[in-house]
Amino acid sequence: MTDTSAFIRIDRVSKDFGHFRAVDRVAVDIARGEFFSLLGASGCGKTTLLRMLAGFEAPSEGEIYIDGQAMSQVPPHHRPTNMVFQSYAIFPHLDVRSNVAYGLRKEKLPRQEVDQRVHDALAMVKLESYEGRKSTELSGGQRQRVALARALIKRPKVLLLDEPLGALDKKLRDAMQLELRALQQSLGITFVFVTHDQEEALTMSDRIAVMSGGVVRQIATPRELYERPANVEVANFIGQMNFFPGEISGEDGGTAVIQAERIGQVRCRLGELAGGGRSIVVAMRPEKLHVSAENSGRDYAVEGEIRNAAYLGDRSHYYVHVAGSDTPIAVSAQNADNALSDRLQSQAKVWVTWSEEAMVVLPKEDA
Amino acid sequence: MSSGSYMSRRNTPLFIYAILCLAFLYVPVMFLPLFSFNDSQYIAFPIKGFTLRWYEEMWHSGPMHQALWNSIKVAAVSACLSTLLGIFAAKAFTRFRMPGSKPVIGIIMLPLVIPEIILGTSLLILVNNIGLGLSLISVTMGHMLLSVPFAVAVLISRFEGFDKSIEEASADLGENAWGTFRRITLPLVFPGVLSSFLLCFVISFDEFIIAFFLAGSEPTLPVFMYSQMRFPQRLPGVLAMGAAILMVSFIVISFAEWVRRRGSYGGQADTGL
Repeated sequence: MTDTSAFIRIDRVSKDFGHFRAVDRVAVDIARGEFFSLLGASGCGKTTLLRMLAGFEAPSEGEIYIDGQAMSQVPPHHRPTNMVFQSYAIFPHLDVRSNVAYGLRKEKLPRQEVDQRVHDALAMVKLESYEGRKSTELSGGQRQRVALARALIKRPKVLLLDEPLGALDKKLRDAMQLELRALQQSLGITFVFVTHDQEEALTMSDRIAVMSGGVVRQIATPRELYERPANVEVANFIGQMNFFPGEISGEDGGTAVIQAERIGQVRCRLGELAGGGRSIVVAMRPEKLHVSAENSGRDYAVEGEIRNAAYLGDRSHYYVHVAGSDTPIAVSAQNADNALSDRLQSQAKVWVTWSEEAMVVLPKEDA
Repeated sequence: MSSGSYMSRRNTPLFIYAILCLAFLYVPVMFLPLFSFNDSQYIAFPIKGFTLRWYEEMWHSGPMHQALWNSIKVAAVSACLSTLLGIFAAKAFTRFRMPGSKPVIGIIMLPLVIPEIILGTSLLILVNNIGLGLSLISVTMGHMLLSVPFAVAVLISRFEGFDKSIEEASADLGENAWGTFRRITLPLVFPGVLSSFLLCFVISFDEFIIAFFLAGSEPTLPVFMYSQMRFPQRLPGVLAMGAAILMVSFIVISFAEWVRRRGSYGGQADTGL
């Protein structure tokens, strides 16, 4: 290994199952103590990648380094990683204490120290009084905590989590998100977290790798991922997005003049796309757009008609049709002002307005 | 209207039908214990009187004890080995990606449908040609051929019954393959192992044709019983033996089934350390 800055280095790793390529030349560096998420729809290769980190699958190509050590010859039981399984994989024939102490047997510790560590691990996940409980008597949330304690008692360098919150109900999941994040920060252990839930990934992660079709589409912080997605696929997967395909008709000093569908001529910074193809897509988040009865004097405005409105409690979604197009522009607005939202429910002619910063220019993807 | 749901309502014709079926299945078998207590050498009605003479005779018969001991040895060894092979096969079929595993399972199951008389004849030719000869070892191997399919079937369903990630979790927590097998896999499949062993034991213990072909001068119990049929005065003793075996088989199979069904994870208290 040449570069020592990465704690986990996934170096152009691929995994083939027969003719199916589940993971395709993924290269990711993860720093020590980072909370790193692999995000993607099911079948995108994120779990396969995690299982390669744990040692349950061997890469077909490439190498994984953890703390400078190449992992391809290291079996799962010798890796400095521990995993929290999606199904929790609690040993059903053992009680809570034996489950948590399971991984300590090889370390040949004196009895008191085992007791102490089991106690500490259970305290860490707030299950102090459950030592003697049978594992079959636990609720989903408790099983998840036991799985966590069982992994953490080994003091791993890296904790791997495979959709650990997927089976919990929403309230518990929200609480566990915060708890996991707090736990990770207090322990300083590197977490690699697999999820298909973008909100979960955004809430907890330091950085996120968005995967689809076995390929990493973008690696970025939650804010970057949301505000500056690298491509249409990521933009579409994370949150909601309006897309306006267009052509670059001219450039002047780093700013491009773009002719886009439905929104007409706009001027945008191109950033990394400068010098690329002329076909692009302008993307805008629904909440960066404003809808009002009058043209409210922002940088850009387009007139349309509200055909659909969805009331979501704290906010509403409006679908505004511009003359001559069937694809509506989605606009999200806070319901702070009841008078305004009442007026907008009707099929009124409205103005959609936005400022220059609302726009992100993405490369056009081949269909 | 009678109480209870649509499904639990009384249906007299069906009830009678069920009774007849059960009678058809079990009345013939009941003759064995019935005549084993009959105070007459002749196996015929009317019943003369109650006696335990035949059981006593059985108890004191030296050759019968030898045959019983032969049967127990053969059954125990073939059940152990079949179950062991069954564990390996079930583990392989359920835990590894193997090309062609479906046809291989089919081939393992094949002895179930080969007529035993054909198996017996083939084995007779085989053991004589490879110099193994007629012995209890040959019988044991023949019985394994019959019981391995049952062992594999019972154990595959048991192995399939638990989440593969439980074994992965054990590896992840630092146990090597053997440690994982001993601490996780074996306790979880143990009910299947026990029921496979008992099933194989009974299959071997009851088997006649292969034992008849291969036993040579050391008869197993069924072969011995058959040989006694030639002597009418010994027939009641055979009936007593038969009744005793019936009882033991019934108890053993019921126990095996109970263990298999109970199958939950309670019971074994492993403290983990």
